[in-house]
Amino acid sequence: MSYVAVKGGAGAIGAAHQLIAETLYPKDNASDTPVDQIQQQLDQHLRLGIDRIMAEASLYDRDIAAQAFLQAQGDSIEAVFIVRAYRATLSRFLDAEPLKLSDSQPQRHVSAAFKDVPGGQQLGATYDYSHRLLGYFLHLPAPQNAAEPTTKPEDDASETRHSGVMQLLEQEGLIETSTAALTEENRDITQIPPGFPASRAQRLQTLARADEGFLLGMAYSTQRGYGQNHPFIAELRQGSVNVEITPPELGFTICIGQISMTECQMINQFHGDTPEQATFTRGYGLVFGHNERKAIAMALLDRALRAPELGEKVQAPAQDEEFVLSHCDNVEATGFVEHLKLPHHVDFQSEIATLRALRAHPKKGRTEHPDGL
Amino acid sequence: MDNKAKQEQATHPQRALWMQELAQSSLKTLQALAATVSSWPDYQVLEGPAIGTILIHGPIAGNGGTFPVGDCTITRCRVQDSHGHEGFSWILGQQPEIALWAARWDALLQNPEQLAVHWDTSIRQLRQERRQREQDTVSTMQKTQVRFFSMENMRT
Repeated sequence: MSYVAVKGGAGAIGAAHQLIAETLYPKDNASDTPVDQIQQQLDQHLRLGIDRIMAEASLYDRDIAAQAFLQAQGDSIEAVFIVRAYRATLSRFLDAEPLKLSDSQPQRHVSAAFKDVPGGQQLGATYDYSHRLLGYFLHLPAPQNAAEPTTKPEDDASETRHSGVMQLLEQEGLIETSTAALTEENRDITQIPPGFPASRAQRLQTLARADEGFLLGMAYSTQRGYGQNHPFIAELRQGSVNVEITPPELGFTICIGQISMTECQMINQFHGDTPEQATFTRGYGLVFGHNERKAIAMALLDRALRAPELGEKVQAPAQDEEFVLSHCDNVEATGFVEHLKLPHHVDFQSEIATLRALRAHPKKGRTEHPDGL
Repeated sequence: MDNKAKQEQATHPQRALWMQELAQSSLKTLQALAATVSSWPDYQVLEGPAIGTILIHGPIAGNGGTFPVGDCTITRCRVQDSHGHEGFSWILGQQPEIALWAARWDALLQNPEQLAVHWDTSIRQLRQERRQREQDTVSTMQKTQVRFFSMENMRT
């Protein structure tokens, strides 16, 4: 069955869009706040919402995300759709140099595996230890002993930033050193659609722009037993990372600014052919902005989707890359689910005609059912 | 780095640094600095300011490879001033005005006399201010450094 196009309704559609415009930009605006100021306020007060739109739209631009968020009246998937459409109109000038996360300025850096993580545990701005009470942050008491850092920063911070939990485990040979091909394809999935089996790079790119809710649900399923997972967060890091480019016109590399990123390095259950060879395995998450929930879920799913590579049986939905990668994009998903709202009058007429015909001419030899079917 | 780039690096060893500082300055700062230049050479815009994207690649930890995380908007501009210097700029975000100023500054600073005047007063100033801002953030965040005690520690 295919969709049959409909015509007409231009007047009503115009009026429907007018209703949106009037809500967005009311003529009798009492507050009189210019739209660009509202956008700035959105970015300031709803930062995490903006971060989520940038990650799922796969375009790092706070102004565009805020504009789309406002236009979509806070519907984040609609906003992602708008940003993706806008992004498609821009030409890509060049590829940036790979991000050097070890040089990042972490605002938040925690390890659930080691309490004495190199560089110290730094909570940053977090809801993690707060009571989920309405108005909780309005009347906070002044923190005790928080004027000075509880752990003195190392003298040579750049030195300490380079060695992380994973490096410590690597030195001891306790974590896998991935042999998976560096030659694996790292082709942008927005230019060349991936096939199955996908490379790890293609999986990670798909997950990085996937719907946070979908990743969360799938990651949760691995923890509840649908797919093997016994994870520890080795390092969760959020902060500003330098963006470097090497324009061909110059031939040398320049740093042009910072973007905010969240990274999650997950340690997972042992793996190895013999007890001596057993090592922990890795899951990895990296997303635009401050998106810890998504980075963690991404790391869990990355690990689950590595099942075939690590010789595990694919038994759960979260381990099935065709299932996960084909359904995690919220613009694609919303397009297909929500298109059901559009007129399907012709399709339905054909169905109803078939059913009527079926009921009018019961097949010979079949006992007629009391209700006619 | 090809020969042309090496030559450029030799002629203007500080160029990457000044381009970095200009790229990270606000429009207000650039306009205020522009007033300190006694005479701006005439210039011609060769390209832009044009808005496009760059593709950001992230590492795959433990693997050594990378994957594309997503795009980032960028504004680029190319100008030529009356001394024949070609100035470039690449600015994160949609920033046509900043891009134009940064490209004009890039052309200006390729003139050794101008560089001598403005390196200390402008570029190093910008660098210092940026580092101060970064340090302020680091200091604020360090207030949240924590030493957790596990039960094992409490027994000892």
